[in-house]
Amino acid sequence: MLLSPAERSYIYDSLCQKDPIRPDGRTPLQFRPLEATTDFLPGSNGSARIRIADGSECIVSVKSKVVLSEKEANLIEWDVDVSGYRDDSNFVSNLKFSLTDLYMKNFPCEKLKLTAKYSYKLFLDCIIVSHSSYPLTLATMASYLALKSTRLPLLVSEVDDSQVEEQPTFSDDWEKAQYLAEFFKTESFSPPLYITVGIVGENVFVDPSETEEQVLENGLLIGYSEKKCIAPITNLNLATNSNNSNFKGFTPALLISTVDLLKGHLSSIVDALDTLDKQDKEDRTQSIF
Amino acid sequence: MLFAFTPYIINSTPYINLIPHFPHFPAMNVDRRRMLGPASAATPIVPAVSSAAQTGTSDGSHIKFFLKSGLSKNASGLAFLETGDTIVEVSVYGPRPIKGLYIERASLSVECRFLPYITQPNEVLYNGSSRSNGRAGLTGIEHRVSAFVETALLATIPLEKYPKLTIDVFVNVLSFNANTRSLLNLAAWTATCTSLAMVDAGIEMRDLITAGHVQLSGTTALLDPTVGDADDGGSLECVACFTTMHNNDVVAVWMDGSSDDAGLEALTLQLEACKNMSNLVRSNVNGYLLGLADSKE
Repeated sequence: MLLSPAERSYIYDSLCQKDPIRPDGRTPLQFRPLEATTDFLPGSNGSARIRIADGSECIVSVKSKVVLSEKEANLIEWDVDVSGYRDDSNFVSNLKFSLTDLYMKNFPCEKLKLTAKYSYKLFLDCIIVSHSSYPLTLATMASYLALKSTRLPLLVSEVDDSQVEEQPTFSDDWEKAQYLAEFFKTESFSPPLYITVGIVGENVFVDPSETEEQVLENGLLIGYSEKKCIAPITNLNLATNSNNSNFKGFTPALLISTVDLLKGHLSSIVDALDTLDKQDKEDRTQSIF
Repeated sequence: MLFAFTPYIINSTPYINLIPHFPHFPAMNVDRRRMLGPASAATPIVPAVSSAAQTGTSDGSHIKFFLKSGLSKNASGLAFLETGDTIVEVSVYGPRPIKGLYIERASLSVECRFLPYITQPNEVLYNGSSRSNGRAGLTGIEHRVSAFVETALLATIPLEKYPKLTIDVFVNVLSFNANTRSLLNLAAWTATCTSLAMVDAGIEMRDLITAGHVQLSGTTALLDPTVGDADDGGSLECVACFTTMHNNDVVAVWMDGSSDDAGLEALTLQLEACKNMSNLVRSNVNGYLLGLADSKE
């Protein structure tokens, strides 16, 4: 939906003032409400679907494969599909690059090692069924939930196979499958997220909606994991059309203050996702299916 | 038995031929299948290959680059930049008219390509299995560099002054050594080179874009670093593009690397160092442009 010059000016002015008013009444650091389901694809190790009120929807499926460690350059591979966009378009390629980059540097890939020779390799397939605002946050939230619900079959053969020619064998019992957190032997397994932030004047807004994106002066993508902001940090024009006449540079101090501001406020989003995942797991254990 | 037990001399080495029927072959263990070089041949002296030996410095005194614009008659603007093993050429076509609907602001497109034989940094990881020879589309890495340059340009060119027009930017990476330079370093130099090509094309800009690239090594920021400059190998890297005339705003930024040290101090330090390098590059680019203007008069 393209805004008229008058609408654009009205929204810009209300976002620019000292006490900004967002078109949907949110506070600057508030995300849009979302709805999610996990582990609903029977054919994959873990999956999640996430939806927000404006009709955006994203599905992520995690599949695993046993590979020879030395032959694989990366143990986590992304595939991104956005409806309405060609796979080789700049938009889709950049989403894929951003996700690969984030996971390559912030996912404990070394813990996917299964035996001395073999590893699990995770394939993350992300389908963005529909979107109106920049879908990267949505995609990372869906993959957060999908990875939280991912189960890998239990290894029953020897862990040390450096001297023997033996392929790993697994338990037939799916009940014994381990969640990634158990497999990694960590208490807090928290995959990284991307936070989209919009800049108007001195104000910053997390998770800008489609209307807001069209008047932003700049957009930031900031990595977030385990209560801190992490690299990659980058900026881009969040509106998909280059018809954003307000787009301009920002001061370095604003970037630093944004990172500082986000650090304290984002743990609630991770808590919300964790609660959702926990509830879904409880529901599954109570279900007779 | 004419030749039997006849001593004779080849290459001043005395041999005694024990094979009466083949007197041409002095001994059996000499390679007979290939043309051998002369025995008196000397081995050329090859200097030791320097591998990523050049290191970034905190004052940028080592930064050297070669810049040239206005080489092409076909493109509206062209700039060429060479630094170390990196050679980038940027051509700008436009502003040229488009058919169809009226648009109020020019449409900007940026396309970055590596020459096909050049190894792209970490291409196995980022480009996946999609790369094939004779490909038509861009790889993930090329798309990322294109997007970075586009972001910088979008904030700098007053596109509303070019309605119904299109500006196309083509970046060609003619040479790049993925063993010594990172992708962020390429992005920095590409952005600088692109803004010079814009100047050559006569397209209005709010200011020149110049970029700085730094890497943290402990608490010092190294300007224009080489891969492996930092002690721990994987520390935070940052590239930022600046426009000085607009209160030194950042128009494009990209920080990457290990996540452990993305603290506030590190960010501040990096952005400040990026600004220093950007200013250093800017004074040189300005000098070049002033020289160019003088020679035209």
